[in-house]
Amino acid sequence: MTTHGRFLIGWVFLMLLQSSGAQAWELIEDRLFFNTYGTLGLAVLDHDDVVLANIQNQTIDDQPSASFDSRVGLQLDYRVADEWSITWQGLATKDGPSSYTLETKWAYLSYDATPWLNLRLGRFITPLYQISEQRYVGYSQPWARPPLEVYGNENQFDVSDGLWAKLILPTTRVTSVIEVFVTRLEDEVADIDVELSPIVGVAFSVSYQHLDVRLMSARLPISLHGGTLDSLANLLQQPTADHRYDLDDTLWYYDLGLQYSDLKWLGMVEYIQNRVDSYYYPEIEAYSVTAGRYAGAFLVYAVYSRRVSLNNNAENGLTGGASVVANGLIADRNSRDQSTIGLGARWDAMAGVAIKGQWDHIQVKPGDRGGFDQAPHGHVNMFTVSVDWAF
Amino acid sequence: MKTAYALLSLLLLATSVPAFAEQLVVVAGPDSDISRLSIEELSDLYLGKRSTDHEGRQLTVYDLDDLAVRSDFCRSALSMSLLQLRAYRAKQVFTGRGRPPRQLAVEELIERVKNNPQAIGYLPRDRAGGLTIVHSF
Repeated sequence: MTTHGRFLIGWVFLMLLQSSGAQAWELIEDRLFFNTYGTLGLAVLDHDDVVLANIQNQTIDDQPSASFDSRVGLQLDYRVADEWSITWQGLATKDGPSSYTLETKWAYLSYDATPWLNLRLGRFITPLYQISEQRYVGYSQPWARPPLEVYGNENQFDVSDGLWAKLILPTTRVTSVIEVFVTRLEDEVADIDVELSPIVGVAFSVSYQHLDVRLMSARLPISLHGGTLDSLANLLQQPTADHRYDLDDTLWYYDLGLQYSDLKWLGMVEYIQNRVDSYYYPEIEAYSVTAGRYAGAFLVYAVYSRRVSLNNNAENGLTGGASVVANGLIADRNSRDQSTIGLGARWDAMAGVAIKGQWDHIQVKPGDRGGFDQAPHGHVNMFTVSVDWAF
Repeated sequence: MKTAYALLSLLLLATSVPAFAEQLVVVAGPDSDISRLSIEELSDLYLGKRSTDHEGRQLTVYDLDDLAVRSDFCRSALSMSLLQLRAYRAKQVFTGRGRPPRQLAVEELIERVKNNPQAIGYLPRDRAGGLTIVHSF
């Protein structure tokens, strides 16, 4: 669904002007709630030879761009009864010079079976990483730009449909939660059928005083078919090949997230890894470390993040065109490695509104392209300023 | 350099919330069988991590709409600033992990706590007459 961007932004700001704080609008008392979040962001690179693109094909280059980061989220919650509720959340992102695409990110029925067990049925953002679920809610995050090396690995397949169970364990002194999700995803991108089914994941979280720790493992059977992919797979899957190049395989995701926050200090660590047998898909290891210091309404922070490819052995068992294609695939994957040092500040200017700025120094090896469209000449600096809100 | 420090100090002063001098207490209704809540339980309840106390009672929690009192409670009970709490609650709301407590004026909070034995809220101690104090800061 496409709607006019100016109208949408204007409508949201009109609502914001009528707001008195960070609480929801109760459209029907105790029944129907409306919330919104969003980001107006401006970013620029100091290089004119590379471009950074997002999944909506909006770019950051050497001219200041507001289209890459800007977005608006809208949420409606309806409490059917004490135990039952229905939630819909849509995200509008820019997909053209003056238009936004509105996509349903969350749409589910929630049931509190007991005070310790919550069940959700419907569509959710698949919670693979520590901040996956709130990745679009800039106001809930410290950064102006979440670490690209970790969260840049998420793509348009970030939502799936199914069942999500959350169980609070009867522990004392610490809060322990187990979450299990069983979902599936079907999509079509450029004549390619994408199927991830069934996605099965388990997350275990522990909170103790100021510290939160989250461990997650998920199994994602993936299947891609259509376009030129099937003929490509036939070309590469030869008995002499060093590696397998199946289009149907199983991805395993692992995630460790830690967050420490007190009145003065913020610390966040995230480590992710995905494993897969087929060399058609990348195996990745990435991590980020963030340290911040609160001072009144300000937070200053530093962040380091790094991404490396793991399945990067050259293909020596194939010959001719198959060898060229396979090694080209592997070489391109290897050239995506990069690391970033970032410094930033957040100012909570008023209730529900934060203004942020961040400088990222992105390092790629000579000849590699990292997350860009082509290899940059030297390291790249990226500057971001944003206004994030949540009401 | 001195000018920069002075400007930064002024900015910090202008944006900080003044400390609330009165002692705060957490209260339940006079007929409530809740007798005591630990600081850990209060933190879990107000952060939406649990909805029950140590005896399994499902509780309804309320916030005060007074900014200074709420800020003071936030620091005392949750070891958070109000700004940190707002960011945390945005995460809770937009990931379906819970809604923030309803914000009420003192009189309305007292009324709701009196009428619901499973409800709690925080108040300055001098406004807690006739109510059950379940935690003092």
